[in-house]
Amino acid sequence: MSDLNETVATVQAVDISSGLASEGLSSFLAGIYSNGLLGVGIFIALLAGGVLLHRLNMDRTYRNVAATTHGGEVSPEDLREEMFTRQGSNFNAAAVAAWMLLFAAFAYFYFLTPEIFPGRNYYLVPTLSSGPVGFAAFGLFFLLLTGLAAAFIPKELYGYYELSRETKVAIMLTVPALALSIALSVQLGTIFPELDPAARGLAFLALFGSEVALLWPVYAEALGGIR
Amino acid sequence: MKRLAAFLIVTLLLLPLVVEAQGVSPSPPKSTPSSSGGSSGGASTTTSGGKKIVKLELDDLIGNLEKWKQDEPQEYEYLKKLLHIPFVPPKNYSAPTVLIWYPSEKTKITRNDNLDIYAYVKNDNPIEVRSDVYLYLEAKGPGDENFTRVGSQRVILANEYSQKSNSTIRDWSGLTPFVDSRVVGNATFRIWFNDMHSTYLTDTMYTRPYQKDDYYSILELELVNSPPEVVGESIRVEPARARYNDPIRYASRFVDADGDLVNVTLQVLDDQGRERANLTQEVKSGTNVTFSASEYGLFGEGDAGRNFSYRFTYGDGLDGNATEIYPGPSLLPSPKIFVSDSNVEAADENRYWWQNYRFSLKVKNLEVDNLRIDLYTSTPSHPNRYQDTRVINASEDAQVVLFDLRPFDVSDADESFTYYFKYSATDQNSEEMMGGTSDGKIHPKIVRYPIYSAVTIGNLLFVLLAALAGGIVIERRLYR
Repeated sequence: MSDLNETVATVQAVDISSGLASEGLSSFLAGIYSNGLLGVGIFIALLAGGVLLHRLNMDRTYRNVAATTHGGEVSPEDLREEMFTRQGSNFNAAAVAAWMLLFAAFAYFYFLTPEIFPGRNYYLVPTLSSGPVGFAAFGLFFLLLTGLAAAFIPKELYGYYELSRETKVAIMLTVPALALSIALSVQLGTIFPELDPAARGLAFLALFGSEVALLWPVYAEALGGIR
Repeated sequence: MKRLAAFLIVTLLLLPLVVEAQGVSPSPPKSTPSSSGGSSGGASTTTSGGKKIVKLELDDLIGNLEKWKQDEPQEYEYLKKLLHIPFVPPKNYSAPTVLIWYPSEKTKITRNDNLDIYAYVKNDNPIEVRSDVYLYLEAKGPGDENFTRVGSQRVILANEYSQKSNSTIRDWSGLTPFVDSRVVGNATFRIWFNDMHSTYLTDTMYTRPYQKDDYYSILELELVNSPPEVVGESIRVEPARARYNDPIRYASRFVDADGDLVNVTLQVLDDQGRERANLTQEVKSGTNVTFSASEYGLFGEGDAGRNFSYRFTYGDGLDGNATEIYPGPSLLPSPKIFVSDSNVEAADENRYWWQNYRFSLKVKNLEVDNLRIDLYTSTPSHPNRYQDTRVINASEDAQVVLFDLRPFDVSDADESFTYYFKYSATDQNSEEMMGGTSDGKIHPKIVRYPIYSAVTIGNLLFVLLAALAGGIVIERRLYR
C-alpha cells in the first residue's frame, strides 16, 4: 500500500512539475509572439544572420582553397563557379515557394488582425477586408512584394552547400508548415476579436521553425566551420 | 433816469417854444392842480419874481414831440442835434484789459467736454474813475459764420478788483457750447465787454492777437469727434431659427469714446435683400440696444419659411457707419407632415457589420406629393453617410417608410452608430429631420466568413497555389 502511495505521489509530482513547465513555456512563447516588435526583430535578425554567415562561409572556403593551392591563383568568381551545385528542379521549386510563403506567412501573422499592430493591419483597408477575396488579395500582395527576393535567395543559399537528404526534406516540409501557419493566422482573423492562443502559438512556431529550417544549411556550415 | 433827465432838459431849453405852442397841443386838456389856477391846454402858469413860468405836463411834451417828429421831421432832427450832448469819459481813463484765461492744455475738444473758460480783467483806473464792466463770452463753432453768446452775463463792479493787482477773474465753468454741433473743425472764443463808455471785443480791440501762457485775446480750439464703434460680439438675433411669432430679438451694443448719444438703426432685409423694416433708437454709449420683433410687428404668418438678414447703421450725428449684413432669422415654415417612431433593427441580435439593418419612420403626410426622405447613418469611420432615399405621396393614412439595407463596412465594427431621416418638408417640430441612436454597438467581429467556409478555403488555396506556381515558374526561368 505504501508503495502504491509512493508511486501515486511520484506520478503527481511529475504531473505537477511537467504542468508547471508547460505553463511556463506557454507564457514564454506568448510573451514572444504577442510582442510584435520582438517578433519582427527576431525574424529579421535570423535573416540578416543567415546572410552574414553565408558571406563568412564563402570567405572561409575561399581562404582554405587558396591556402591549399600553394601559390596557384584562384579567383573568388572561379571558386564560386566551381562550388555551385544544382539541387534538383523539384527541390528548387519547393524552396522558392517556401521562401515566398515564408514572407506571406510573416505578413499574415503580424499584419492581418489589429491584435499586434493596431495601427498597421489589413482591416484598415475596409473595402478590401470587407470583400470575399480579401484574404487572397492580401496574400498575393505580399507574394508579389517579396517575389524577387524569394526567387534568388534559394539559389544563393543552397547552391554552395552540400545538402543532405534530411535537410532537403526539412526544407521542403516548410511549405506545408508555412501553409499551416497561414491557415492558423487566417483562422485567428476570422474569429477576431476573439483570441486563440494555441492557434497563435502554433502559427508562430510553424513560422519561425520554417525560417530556421530554411536557413539551417548556412548556420550548420557556420557551426561546422567554427568547430 | 435818462428819460427824466431828458425831460428836464427839454423843459428848460424849450420853454419859449412850448409857450408858443399852447393851445395847439393834440393832447387832451387835463385838470391838474396849479398854484394859480389859470391854466389851459394841460400847462399851468405860475408867477415867480415877476416872471411867468409855464409848467408842462410830461404827456403833453411827449405828445408834442411825437407830432413834431411826424409833421416837421427836419426841425425835429435839428432839435435832436441841439439836445445831443456827447459823453466824454473822464480824463486819463483807459479801457480795462480783458483776456480769456484758459488754464487747460486741451486744445482738441469734443462736443461733450465741459469747458472751463475764464475772463481775466485788469482795470488800472482809480476806483473813482472805474465804471462797471459787463462781459459776455462768445463762441463761433465750426461752420458758424457769427459768434454767439454762451453762458450768461458777468458783471464787475468798480470795487471788485484786487487792490494789489487791480485785476479780477470771472468764470464760465462747465460750458458745452458745441453739444449740438453737426460738424467738426475750429472753435473760436472771444469776450464781449462794455465798460459804460464803449463796447469792446477781445479779438479786435488789440492791435494783434495776444497769447501768453494761458491767456488769450482770442481762444482757438479744435472740435474733434470719435465715431462710435460696434462691439462685434454683441450683434446677434435670437433665436436665429424661429417661428414667425416667436419672441425674436435683435441685439447690439455700440461704444462712443466721446460719450455721445448713439443713433442706432436696424435694417431688416428680406430674402431678396430688400429693406423690410427700418427702426431707430437713440441710446447712450455702451448700453445694449434691443429691437423686439413682436413689439414692432416685423414678421407675419406669410413670412414663415423665409430667411431674413439684417444690419445696423449707427452714428453720433457727426460720423456714422454700418455693420456688415448678418443672416437671420430663418423663419421656420409651417408644418406639412407629422413624423414619429423612428426606429432601427438589425437583421439578427448579433448586429454584425455585414448584416442588413431595418430603419423605419412613421409619416403622416396629408398634402405633400413626392415627399423625399433620405436616410443617413453616422459612425466614427463614416460620419453622415448617405444610404438611400424613399419618395412617398400624400395620403390620408399614416405611412411607415422602410429602409432595409446594409449600411456598414468592416471599419464600423465595434462602434456605436446614429442615424437620421432627412425629409423635404417641415414636420410638426419645425424640423426637417428626425433621428436616433443605436441601442448598442455593432458586433466587433471583423470577418464574416468562418475558416471552414468555401470563401476562406478558396482564398487560402489561392495563396498556396500562387506560391507553388511562382516557385515552379521561377525555377524554370531562373534556375536552368
